Amino acid sequence: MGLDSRLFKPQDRGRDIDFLNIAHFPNSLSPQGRTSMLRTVSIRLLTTRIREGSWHIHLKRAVRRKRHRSPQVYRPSRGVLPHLDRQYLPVHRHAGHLFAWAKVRRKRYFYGNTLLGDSAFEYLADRRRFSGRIVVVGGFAIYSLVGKINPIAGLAMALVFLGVLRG
Amino acid sequence: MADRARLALNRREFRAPQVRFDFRAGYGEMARLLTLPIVLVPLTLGLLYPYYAYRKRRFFLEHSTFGTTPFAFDASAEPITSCISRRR
Repeated sequence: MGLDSRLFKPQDRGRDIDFLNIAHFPNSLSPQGRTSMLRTVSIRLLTTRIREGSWHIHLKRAVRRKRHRSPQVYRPSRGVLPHLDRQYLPVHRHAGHLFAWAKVRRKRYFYGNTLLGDSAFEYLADRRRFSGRIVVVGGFAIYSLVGKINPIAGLAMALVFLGVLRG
Repeated sequence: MADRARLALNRREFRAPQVRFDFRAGYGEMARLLTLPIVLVPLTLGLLYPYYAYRKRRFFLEHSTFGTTPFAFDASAEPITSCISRRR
C-alpha cells in the first residue's frame, strides 16, 4: 500500500511552499533534491524573508550567482568539512559552530537525508532559537556569583532553580 | 466542510492510528551497536564518536517502518570520516 502524503502534510504550510520557487535559490538544495551540508539556510526562513519583502535581494543574489557560474554544479570537493567534527574538534575558526550551529546543521543534514516513501524530511528549526544552553550557562554563572557573595542567597537561588526545573 | 472532514480524520487517526510506526531489529545487532562504542570511542580518544552517531542513526532508521513503508537514510559517512583523513 502506498502512502498518501497529502494526509500527513500540514494544511497551512502549503501556501508558503507554493510561494517559493526553488529554482531561484540554487544553493539551498543539492541537485538531488536533498539537503547538502553546504546549505545553511532553511527554506522556511527564505519564505519568511520573502513574505517580509526582501525577496528581491535574494533574487538578485541568485541571478548574480547564476551569471558567475552556470550551469549550477554541485561541488562537494570544495572542502565539505562537516558540522559533525566541528562539534567535537576544539579548534575551529567559527566558535559558534561548536554549539547551536553545529546542532542545527547536523540535524538538517540527517533529516534532509532521511526518506520516507521517496520524500525527504525537512528540519525547519531556526538556529537563533537554540538559546537553551545560553540560559543554562548564564543561570549557573549567576548562581555561582551569588553563592560567592552570600551563601544564603545562593541557597535561595538554588531553591528557585529547583522550582523552575520542576515547572 | 473540508475542515470538518479534516478534523474528523485527525481525530480518528489520533485515537486509532491506521498507519503505525514499527521497529524491528535483532537483539544481537542492537547489543553490538550499543556496546562496541563503549570500548572503541575511548580507545580512539573520541574521534570515532561522530561516525558512531551516524551509524546509530542509520541503524535505527533502516529498521523502522511507517505503515509498510520503510525509512531510508541517504546520508553518506564520507563527510564524517573526512574530519580524520582530510583538513581544509
